[in-house]
Amino acid sequence: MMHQSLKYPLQNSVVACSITALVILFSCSNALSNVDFQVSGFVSAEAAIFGEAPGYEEQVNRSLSPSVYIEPEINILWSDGNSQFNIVPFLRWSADDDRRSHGDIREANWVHIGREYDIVLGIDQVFWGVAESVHLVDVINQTDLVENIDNESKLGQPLLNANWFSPFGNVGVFILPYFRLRTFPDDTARLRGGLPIGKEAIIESSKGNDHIDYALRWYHSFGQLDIGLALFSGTSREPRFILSSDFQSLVPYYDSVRQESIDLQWTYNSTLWKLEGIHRRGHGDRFSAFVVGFEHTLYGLFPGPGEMGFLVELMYDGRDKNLAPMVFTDRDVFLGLRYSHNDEQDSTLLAGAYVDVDDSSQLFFIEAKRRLSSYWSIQLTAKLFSHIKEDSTFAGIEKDSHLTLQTTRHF
Amino acid sequence: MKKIVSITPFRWVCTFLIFVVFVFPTATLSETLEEKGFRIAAKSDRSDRGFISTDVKLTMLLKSSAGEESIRRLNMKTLEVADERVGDKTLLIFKFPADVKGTALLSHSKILKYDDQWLYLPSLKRVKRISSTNKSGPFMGSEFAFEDFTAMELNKFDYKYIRTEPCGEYQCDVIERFPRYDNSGYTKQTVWIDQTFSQVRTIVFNDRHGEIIKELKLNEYKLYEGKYWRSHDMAMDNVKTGKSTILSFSEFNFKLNLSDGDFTTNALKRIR
Repeated sequence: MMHQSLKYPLQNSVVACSITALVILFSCSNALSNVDFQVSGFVSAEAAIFGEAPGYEEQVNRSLSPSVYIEPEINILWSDGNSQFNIVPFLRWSADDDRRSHGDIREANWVHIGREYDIVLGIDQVFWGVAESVHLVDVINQTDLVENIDNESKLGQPLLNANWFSPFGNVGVFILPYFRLRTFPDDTARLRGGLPIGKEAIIESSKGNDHIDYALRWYHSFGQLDIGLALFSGTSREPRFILSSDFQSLVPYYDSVRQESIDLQWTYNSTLWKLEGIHRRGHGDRFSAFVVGFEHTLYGLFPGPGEMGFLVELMYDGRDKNLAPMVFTDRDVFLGLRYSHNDEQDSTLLAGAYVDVDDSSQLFFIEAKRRLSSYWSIQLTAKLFSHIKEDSTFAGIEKDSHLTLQTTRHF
Repeated sequence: MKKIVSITPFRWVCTFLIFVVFVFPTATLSETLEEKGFRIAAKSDRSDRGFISTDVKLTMLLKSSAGEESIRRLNMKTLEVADERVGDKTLLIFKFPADVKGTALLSHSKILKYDDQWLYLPSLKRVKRISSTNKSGPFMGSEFAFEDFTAMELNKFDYKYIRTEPCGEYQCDVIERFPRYDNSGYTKQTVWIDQTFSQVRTIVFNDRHGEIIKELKLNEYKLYEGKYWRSHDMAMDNVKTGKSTILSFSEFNFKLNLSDGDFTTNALKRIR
């Protein structure tokens, strides 16, 4: 097995790829009439408030941490939208985390849509799955962890993706020629954990970042049942950590893995029944993991048009504690409430709790959103760690409970 | 004894005339109010047959009782499903306010069962199959419920003819229709259909308690392709809250080559 040590690179190939794509675009689009050019996006300012002093000396002890970010989106559409060029750059500045101050190209792709197929070439974002508490089957994009520890912010993935829409379901092939390293908080930042995470990473594949990963997905809808099956072969998006030679930091280690997955949802009246399951080789012994649960929505519960959803999801993960990346969702219960006020401001609230069945560590969160005007919206999020045990995945960030207030200007 | 009267050709003619003059109209009159209501609704619904597909831009102007206004913009694509036992397919693409831009809703309408619906969330690039049981909730915060402006399928209701009366420049048949599908927000809708073009001019909605809650006026009808009427201005007034929504439509585009493939979850996630 060869190991390749890598510095966090300025994502050269990403930049090169998008410049090439831009050149192709402008050389093509000039020749075409009827081109629809759209610019949208948003700028957002946020303030995170930490209630407790940090757990480690090196961490900046400031209770208020501001940050600003921008995510414009440019879409160029021609042939009635059947040919597209989409660019979504992203840039964040953070006062207290130099690694969170970062940029990325979320999307820079050319899309061609045919009658029974479509093709995407470039950098894209792909989401698979149905569950709310954990996204087990979602493997295409790397997590941009400095954005949010909820695993829902993703780095742009260079890919070639072709999909065929057959009467027997949709078949998608993904060729992923470049691997992106996960982002982690800076040594002095909040939410970094007990040991700082070094700037170097190890990829098991001898080709390092340039190893070509593959994925295959079949999706079909049978009446009330939506089902997806997928295969992934390549460098795991989840790293495990090994101690650095000086024992002062952790080094992310990305194993080569193979994974089969299933995701299904049965939509029966007001209840969505959900299941995601994976089987993976390459992280120690082969193991399975799943999340199963439901979301049931009631309306007319209160006077007015509001509706309340109740979410219950059970998680199980059979992975090796030492040879596989740590997850907090090994044996956990997720309970959630989703309230939509159905008002003119689209006010929504999602509150949830993860409870570890084994050591009863708890994570509570709230996400509340409301539109202020046609262009402004406001968002409040909170994460609260409670009863975190020493060997829990959250050990080291238990003092980093925080509340974030965010105002966004959409354009 | 008198001879039994023989049936002469003359008598045949008389009997026939008596039948035509008296019996035949009575047969028509014996059509029940329910049958008549259905016949009027069916004529209105079927006047729209064969449109195949349309694409239109919608603007909603929401007014609060205090007069505050806000705007919603969306695009709507519709694919006709000719079978009256199955509903049409619609794709709604949200354009404004800016925070919901790119969100899209795909709906495969059923008649009496719940519709199949998928929502595309652009921030997560996620297609989510959603429950469609809450048809009666406000659509984008407006006075329209989802069930108010998705295709009004003939077989979603039971009907009853009430009366005929003048309505503006037309003579209208007034019929009542009663939702047959579950979870409707209404117990009854009273519909005014003009006798000239068989188009719906006014709908009064009764809520779950049987009380009048909303009134919808459909104005500015235009004729497309020589046979399809479309209202370009729908004004919904909530008589209980004093709020209102005006739904206005751009020119409808009928000359599209839309197919089932444009109304799938793949199409949904490629919308920009």
